[in-house]
Amino acid sequence: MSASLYKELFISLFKEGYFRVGLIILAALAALAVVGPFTAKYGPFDVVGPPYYPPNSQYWLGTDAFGRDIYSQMVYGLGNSLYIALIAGLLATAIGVTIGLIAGYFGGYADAILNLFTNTILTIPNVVIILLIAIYIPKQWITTTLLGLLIGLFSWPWSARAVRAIAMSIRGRDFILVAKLSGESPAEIAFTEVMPQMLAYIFLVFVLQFSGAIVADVGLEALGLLPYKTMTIGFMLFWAVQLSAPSYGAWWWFLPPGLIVMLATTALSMIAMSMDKAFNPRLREE
Amino acid sequence: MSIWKYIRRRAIEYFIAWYIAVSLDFILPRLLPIDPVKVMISRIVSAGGGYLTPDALQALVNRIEEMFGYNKPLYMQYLLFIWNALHLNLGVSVWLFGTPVSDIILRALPYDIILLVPAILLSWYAGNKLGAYLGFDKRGTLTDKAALPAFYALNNAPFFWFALILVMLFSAYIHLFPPTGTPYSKVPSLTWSYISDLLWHMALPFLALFVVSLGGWAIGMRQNMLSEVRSNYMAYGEALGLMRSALRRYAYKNAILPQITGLAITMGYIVAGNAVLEFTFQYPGVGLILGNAIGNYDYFLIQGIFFFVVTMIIIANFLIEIIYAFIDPRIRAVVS
Repeated sequence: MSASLYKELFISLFKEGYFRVGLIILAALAALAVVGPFTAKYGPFDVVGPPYYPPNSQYWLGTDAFGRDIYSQMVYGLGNSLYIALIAGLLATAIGVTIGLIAGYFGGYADAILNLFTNTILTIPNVVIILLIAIYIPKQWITTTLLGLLIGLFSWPWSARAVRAIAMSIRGRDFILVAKLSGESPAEIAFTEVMPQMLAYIFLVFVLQFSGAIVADVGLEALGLLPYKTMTIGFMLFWAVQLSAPSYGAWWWFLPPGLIVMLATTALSMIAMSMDKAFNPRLREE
Repeated sequence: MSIWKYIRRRAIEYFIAWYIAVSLDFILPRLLPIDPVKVMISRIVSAGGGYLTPDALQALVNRIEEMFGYNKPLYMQYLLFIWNALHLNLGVSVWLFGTPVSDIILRALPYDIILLVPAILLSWYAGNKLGAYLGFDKRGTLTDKAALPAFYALNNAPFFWFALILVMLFSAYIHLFPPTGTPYSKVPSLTWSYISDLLWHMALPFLALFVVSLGGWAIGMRQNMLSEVRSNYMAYGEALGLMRSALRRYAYKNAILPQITGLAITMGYIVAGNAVLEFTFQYPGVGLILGNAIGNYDYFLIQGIFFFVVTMIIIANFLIEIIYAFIDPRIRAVVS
């Protein structure tokens, strides 16, 4: 795809209101994750006040059942949660694109085997298989990086399917034939001719994987698969569930972390939807 | 290739998928550094008062290893595991003092079915209607533009988080529904008092599942409708002067097909995804058992649930795919 075509894509993307809103929300959250810890008065695990204290000027978002400051937990947790999702998103995109590209471009036996593999992983819910693995790992090994890698390792099948379909449609185009005739090896064609055609689409895959990883991570952590001595958004929700925060009316404990998750994923969905529309004119509304 | 040949091929693929999953269930515990037998014994010992003579301890180790075939060669253990699993002999739970794992799961399963199946199907139905309404009738209007971010937000809200909000609203502030799942005290029976009580306790978990899932179905259906509206057959229909309602009917029929595939996959993910939801309500389904098994390091229970869940999901997916093949003429066209 030529540079001017990319420029055109960007312009049509920025015309989308949803894209701009999504980008602003995401930038604001990223800023909060980076700057937030400097504005927090306490450490995320420090017991600093009375339990179940509603929001006030000293504890901006109140305190939890242990008397820990919720604002501090949230700004520290946001960064770690985004980091986990980023690792997961990158890994899932890398695996999905590689497998999808090989299956779609080469076809034949490679496609049959990779497709079976993809479908197998797709049928097993990734949360269940990650739990099964995590349960046998010593607790102190579970770091944010490991969690991100585990989520990424089992979240790629959707992307592989989508990339495969696109690679198959590119396979028959004329410039591929030209590359073949000029003596490029099949692997060379797959990764230097076919893949650049899909760059915009690969980015879309990454956005979706990133968003999915945020949700998967919160779900896993809420089930008790917690990173070792590291605050995350899911960690906060885990304790809010375990100690039934709503029964104490402690809305300030569980509403903010959930809203943050919703904000981040909705912003990513809006970005993904706008990209989909920019690449696929059939979806444009009039 | 006839449709039966297609079904046979898919059956073989599903069987391989099942086989790989079950093998993982066997291999993973043996690859990773924790020795489940040791962990279980330390739990038994601490539950029983905390002290055993070395002889008694060794006897216990031998007994448990023998029970699960750990003293046999690895390939025998593997064959034994699959053989036993197929006969629903999934070992015993440590957390529930030696109750067979399959008993625990089979007792919890009906609770999942009465909660999940209606919640999924109803949200699927309502979500499709809503999505079609937005994508066809309200396409490009302000309603559509405002509803979409709301549905995206719903779709990404964790089930259990939404459940926490519901609990706070409807049981802490307004005392309308009980905060936790079904009553353990009542013996299941076909009496009105039991059934009404069960429904009353199910209301909040049902609502949480229904509302959160609604968003995803509506988004999917809206998207499908949009691409149907743009397709050639719709332009042809319009040129023929078909009524709008007739065009809508054709678009709807085509747009709903991908949603059926989505339904198959959701069925599987929901079992895992609602574990925290069930914990929040202490609703006695498989999800709650899984949560407790993890919290109590009950390895055989986890292994058993994994086997069970994977088997159910693969059967459900296979059934939906067969139904799909009969419904969608395009699949028949592709295979023949």
